[in-house]
Amino acid sequence: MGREHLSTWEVVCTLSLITLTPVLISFPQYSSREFGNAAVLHSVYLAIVVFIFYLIILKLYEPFAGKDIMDIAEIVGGKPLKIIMSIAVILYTFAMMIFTMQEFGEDIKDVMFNHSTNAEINILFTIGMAFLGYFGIRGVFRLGTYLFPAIVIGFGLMFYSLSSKIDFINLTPVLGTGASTVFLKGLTQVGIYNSLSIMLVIAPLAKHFKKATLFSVLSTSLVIILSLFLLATIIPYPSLNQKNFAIFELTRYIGFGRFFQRLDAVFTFFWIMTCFVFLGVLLIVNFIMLKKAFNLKYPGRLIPCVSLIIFTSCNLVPSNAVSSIARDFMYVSLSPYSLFLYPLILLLLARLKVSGRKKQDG
Amino acid sequence: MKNIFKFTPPNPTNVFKIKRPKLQREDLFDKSANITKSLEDNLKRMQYFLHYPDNSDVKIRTFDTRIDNENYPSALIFYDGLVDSDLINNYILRQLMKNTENTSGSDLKECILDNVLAQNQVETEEVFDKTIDKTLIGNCVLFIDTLDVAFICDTKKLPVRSISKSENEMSTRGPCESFVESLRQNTGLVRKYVKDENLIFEDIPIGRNAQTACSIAYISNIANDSIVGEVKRRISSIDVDYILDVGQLEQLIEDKTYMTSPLILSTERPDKVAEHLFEGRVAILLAGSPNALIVPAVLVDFMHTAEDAYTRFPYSILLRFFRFPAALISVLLPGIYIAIVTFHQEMLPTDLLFSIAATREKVPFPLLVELLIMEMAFEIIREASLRTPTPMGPTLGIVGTLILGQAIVSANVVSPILVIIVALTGISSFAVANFSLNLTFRILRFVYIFLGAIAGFFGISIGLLVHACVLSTATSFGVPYLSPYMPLSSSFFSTDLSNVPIWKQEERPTFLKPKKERRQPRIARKWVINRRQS
Repeated sequence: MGREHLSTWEVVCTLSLITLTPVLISFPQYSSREFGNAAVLHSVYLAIVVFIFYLIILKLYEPFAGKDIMDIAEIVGGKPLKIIMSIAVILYTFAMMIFTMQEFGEDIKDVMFNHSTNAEINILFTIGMAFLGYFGIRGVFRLGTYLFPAIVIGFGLMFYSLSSKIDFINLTPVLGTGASTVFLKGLTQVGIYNSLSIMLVIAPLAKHFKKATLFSVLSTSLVIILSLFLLATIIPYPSLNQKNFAIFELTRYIGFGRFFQRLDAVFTFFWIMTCFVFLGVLLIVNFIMLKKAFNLKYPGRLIPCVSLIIFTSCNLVPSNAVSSIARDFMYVSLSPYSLFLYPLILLLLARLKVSGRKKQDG
Repeated sequence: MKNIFKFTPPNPTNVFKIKRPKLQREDLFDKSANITKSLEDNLKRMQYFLHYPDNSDVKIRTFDTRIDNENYPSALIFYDGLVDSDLINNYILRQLMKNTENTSGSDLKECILDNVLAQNQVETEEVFDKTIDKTLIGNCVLFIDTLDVAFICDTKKLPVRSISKSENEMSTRGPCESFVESLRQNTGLVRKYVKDENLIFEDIPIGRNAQTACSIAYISNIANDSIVGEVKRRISSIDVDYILDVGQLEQLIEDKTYMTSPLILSTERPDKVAEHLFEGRVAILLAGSPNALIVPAVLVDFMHTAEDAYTRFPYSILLRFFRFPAALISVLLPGIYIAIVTFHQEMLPTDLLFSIAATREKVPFPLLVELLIMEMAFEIIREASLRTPTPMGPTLGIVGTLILGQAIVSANVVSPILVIIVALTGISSFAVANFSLNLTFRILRFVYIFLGAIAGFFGISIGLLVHACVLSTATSFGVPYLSPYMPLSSSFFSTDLSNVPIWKQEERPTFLKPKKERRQPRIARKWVINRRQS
């Protein structure tokens, strides 16, 4: 009776949640700084690009059904390439977790726990993340299915409550800082769709890989576009690019009548849980890769050590600003490779190799 | 087998004169030994195993069985108090003592089975341990010299109470009967509701020292074989000395012991068991227990009450609509209150904030201590009222809640708003019908109070996160505990969270993977079509 695979609903919900974390922290700020009023247009453009790219990836993936990106790396370059690639991805996700935890923790501290230290906040994140690690990929992905509908309802409430504050003038001039900036330089911002690369790691676990991937692309695109639309139309871009934790700022404007005047704390519930899911999934992805690359039998036993390393590393980051810069660097300079080029090249090489073998076999 | 009666009739008078091998001491301890032809040996062993005569309720009646005017020394062994004396006197002893003509010419054993014992359930046993087990459940055992078998006659008349009204799962509509301690009466009650020849009761005895009869009930053409197989596998592999109640059995067969939420549904209502059997679930009944277990159980099952099925669907929607928020209030309200007052005061409107601050001004304790005092007092009152004799109950309620509540506020030990919070939480918890789930919520409430006190909404978020993960990874007999939401099925919104009219409840829960997925055709009310056609 037990279920082995992740359903499309689970995958879509969880990946959308993971995408929401960078949107919560700094993406709108970065986007409005780079593209001005064209932040929304840029997000729509990115969504189209990512959708087309994933159609290509799915086409290339067809002969490798049931295999993840590590298996494909093994087909291309044998075990050494598999291990090298795994280490690279693990380091990347490690860094992403550290900077996200640090930055999110500091943002939360600013809005909720003024008297606490960063380490106190981070230890809570670490505990939650470690717990999620123990529940494994299925537990966390199922968790996403409860949280995502709640977030959708939250966004609905935000739209309803803030609809009177939406000003379409904030979207003009449409091309913002210029067409070349939006359409050429804007491609480097594709890192915001980083969560989708998890699909390539959990490919064997997804019940309907193709369907789940396409729906995830659509869903994550919607999350990003709607968030930016709400932010960009309510907060003028010169203010927006100064704001950390911009969506939280937005929730401060929500009010229903005289009684419900401040609901931002309720929304903080959801944002914190979103961040937990982000950290939990990345931790689990790390363990999946570790397990496959080094044939570990019980990788779960490493959870306390790894969590402790992340916590300690987090406290070594000197400030929110450093972590923000580092994360932006990773999103802009590393993600295009990790998201686009790495799987694309691997898949192309793997297909060439497989077709070459077939020809040899006659 | 040698036909001793027809060809070589023994001389019963010489039976005790035959020199038999002497019973060794080690033989006496061997329960698994076969029954011998010597009544003397058999009696010695039975007396030893049943601790006769130390055991005062063990009765051994020796007499002569008369067949074809021949006397065969015999003994009848039973537990006084477990058997029907009239049945033994009139249909066993009387029959055996009066002379019976063996007209059919069969052997002695067959003759006794066919012509002497006027009983509807008689069987023979060849080994001592099984014979003893059957004696213990109220059968009487008959030994006849020259026969190496024991006759087991069903003479059970266990002391039982009569079927009464369900007290813990009351409902305003529907049947009111509840299970009693007799297994056969309980199976009868279930069969009364499920008049289906495919309803199967499979008996599996549990326990090494005291074998308790356990019955697994399922409808063979509906229940999934793998669930039935799993239930049988778990129950048959239990190796304990004894089990007295399904509560103990539940702990031995549940998937996760350390989880606070119950994974097996327990009920005292036969109609509820019948309803779940029709859905494709498996019920477990145990002798001596007035409750039945239903497996697999998912979280939503614990939120439903018996009358949900019997009331019209708008009413049941309304009842469920209030029950789910009540459950959330009972778990989270004190935690959220402490989180808001300690960390997120900005959430409260200014007037309310001032009001809370004013009421707390004279309270000497921190909010956490104040809340714990009240919660503990409430739990103590609840526990005490359960244990108090019924006539004292209302008095305790009045003293505990009204007088103590009034006094504690007047003495500035707690603030009035906290009394409202705790009372609302307590009342909400009563809306959760299931006792086990209610207890779960009571435990979790304290967890969320501490989390809220430590880190406000952040702490509660961690709690909810871990809690959701625990629930989403749990399974009950292989079925995900959060079904039908996870994995999502259409029945979640139609019948599990809310309700639809009974004529639209066409499918059985898909997460149970029943053999028959539909419980009724698409159009169950044929009269609607007939009316349109006419």
